[in-house]
Amino acid sequence: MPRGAELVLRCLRQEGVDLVFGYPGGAIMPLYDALEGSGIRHVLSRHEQGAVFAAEGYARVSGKVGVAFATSGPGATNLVTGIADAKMDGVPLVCITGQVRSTLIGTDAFQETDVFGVTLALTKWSRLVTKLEDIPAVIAEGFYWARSGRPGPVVIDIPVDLMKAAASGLAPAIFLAPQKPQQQKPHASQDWTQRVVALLQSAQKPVALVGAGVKLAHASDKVRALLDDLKIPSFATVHGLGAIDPAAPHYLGMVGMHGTRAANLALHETDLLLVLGARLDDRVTGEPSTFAPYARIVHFEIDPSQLDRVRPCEVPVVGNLAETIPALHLAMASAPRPDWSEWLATAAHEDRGAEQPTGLTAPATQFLDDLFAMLPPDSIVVTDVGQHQMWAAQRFRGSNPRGFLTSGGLGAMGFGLPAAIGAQLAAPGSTVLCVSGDGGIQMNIQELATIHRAGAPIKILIVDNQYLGMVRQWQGLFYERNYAETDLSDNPDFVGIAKAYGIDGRTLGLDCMNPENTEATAQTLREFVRSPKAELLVFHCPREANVWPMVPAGAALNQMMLRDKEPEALEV
Amino acid sequence: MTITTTMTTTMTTSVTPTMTTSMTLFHIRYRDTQGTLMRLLNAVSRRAIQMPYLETSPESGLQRLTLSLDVTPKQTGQLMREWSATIDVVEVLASAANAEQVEQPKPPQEVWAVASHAAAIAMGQA
Ligand SMILES: Cc1ncc(C[n+]2csc(CCOP(=O)(O)OP(=O)(O)O)c2C)c(N)n1
Repeated sequence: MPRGAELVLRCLRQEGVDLVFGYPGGAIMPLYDALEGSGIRHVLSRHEQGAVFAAEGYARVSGKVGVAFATSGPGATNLVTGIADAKMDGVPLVCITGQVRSTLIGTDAFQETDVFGVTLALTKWSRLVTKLEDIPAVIAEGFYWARSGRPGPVVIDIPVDLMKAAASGLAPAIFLAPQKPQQQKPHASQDWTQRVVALLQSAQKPVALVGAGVKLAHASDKVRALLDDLKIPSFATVHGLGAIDPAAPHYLGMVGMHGTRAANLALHETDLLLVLGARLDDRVTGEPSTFAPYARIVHFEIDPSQLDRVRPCEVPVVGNLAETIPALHLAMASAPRPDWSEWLATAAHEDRGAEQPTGLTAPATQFLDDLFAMLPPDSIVVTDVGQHQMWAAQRFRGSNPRGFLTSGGLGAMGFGLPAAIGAQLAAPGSTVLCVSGDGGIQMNIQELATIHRAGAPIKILIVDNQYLGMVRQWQGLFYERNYAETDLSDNPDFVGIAKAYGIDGRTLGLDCMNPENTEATAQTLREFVRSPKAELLVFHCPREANVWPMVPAGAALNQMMLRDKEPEALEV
Repeated sequence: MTITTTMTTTMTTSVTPTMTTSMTLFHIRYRDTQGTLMRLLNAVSRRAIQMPYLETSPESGLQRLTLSLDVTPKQTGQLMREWSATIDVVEVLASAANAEQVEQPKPPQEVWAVASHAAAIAMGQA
């Protein structure tokens, strides 16, 4: 006699799920009991936050919905950071949580939390299932919303008694979405193309800002074709990295707080800003009141709630970028256009180019350059959060649209290692490099056990500066070098920890960057990248290296701090 | 160890300009599914906006929420967009509320015909 738990798994199979990440407990035990023979592989994380970040990593690389299981109460609350992360970054995610017995709901029973209430503000859609027969429709609808429009997180909370109940006669369902006005293809109107063409025709200094939406819409090729044709300066947010070929002559690099000087200046000077699938986060805009002060804005976006967040745009183009971008391209094909070559030459001129990092920063970025140069083209770089994240974003030169994963909106430390697990399982044939800090790695270091058991050949780099470096940088710049509670000089032996989990590791001291060690270091990096197993590499980077350039919080994008002064006076 | 920094231009500390608020009536029609009302109200409470008046009642198979809020134009835009993007929301409208409407909050029927600019933008038609 099939039970509710089996029905849940059949519904997941119908949605195309063959891999889930999770952690068992009392209220979700029937689901675990039914796993064997369900056709669904379960990867046991060692913390529910690890499971949800791994599900996100899987979703970000595969484009499919990531699925995480957790039990009621503490299991479910441990998912919260990952749910918030998926909301911010538009990641399709379904979390299935076990709930206490239906009759106990609302009684503060053992391990009861109001998961529906706790996650309401963080989810795109959620349900507490109250009837067995609702399970198929709820799961079908949940998956629909997780992947539709701007993807996002869904929570489905199922009381344990429903999972245990006999479920004969029930089968997976299909969800047909109700129409609402903004879903009726506003881009179908030709009106907006004419307006955008007219704006482009009158623009002297147009630019394109490329965000995550381009990747989510699988529109990288179409955006590349448009920009290669228009030849206007382009740049990417941290989530847009890889959407544009970094070798394209119009590409100026990453924009925003730690973006390139060329990109930030072009964004400040532009008179027509094409925003392609970006939320315009304050890390991208700098001080909102001084953001792109001379620009009219055309915003291509699938989710209307992301429009006008900084200031009203002249033309909102609400729709799927895979359709709206070709429509604009087509309209521009026959339209006369100004010659923007001089503007592009100015924007991309070498005197605006990235200064080579100097002083303490140079070894850190040079190390990443050397390592990234050895990665095969389809590699995936997954970062944690902090200085190493920004260095990795600045130095990333990959052109795989799903090749750079980071917690950009939420900025959640602890993301990197578990997300790399999901990424590796989504792309088993690709090299996955996790770049973490010595602080962030310790937020989910237990996932080394997951990596070991899954046999995932992830390459884990710890950029070890023995500080919570990004916070230390701000303390240095804005808090008179009061390095309160950011010192990590008593870090554990990371290689020893990895070995205890069955993962090999080694350490490279800062002297690996000395010219006499170039060949030995290159050899170590080669072995690291090419190893068929998971490997840890700890790189001791200068303790007080900073990320440059930097637009301080509250400043305009053209108010960049470029580097530490007097690098020659700095100690290593 | 000393690290000093240079900047290309002088930094200014900006203070968020205070925007004037005005009493605005919002009308939202939604399918009364689990949590939808809470999501709508959460959009207000997360911005620490007071809710001096709200009413919800069934209306031709849907549910209708009427809220009167003292908000800035920017908040109006944000709320309209957030509500419009909420699953199971069918329609979002706003109109300036006069004192009488705030006390006597059943909005006149013609209000429904007045889609605000923000709503139009939210629907990609502006
Ligand atoms: C969960 C979480 N807690 C705190 C922070 C604030 N924070 C941002 S960066 C950072 C320091 C990260 O240090 P580390 O992992 O060593 O990386 P580094 O900056 O040194 O490269 C901190 C504490 C955060 N982003 N996420």
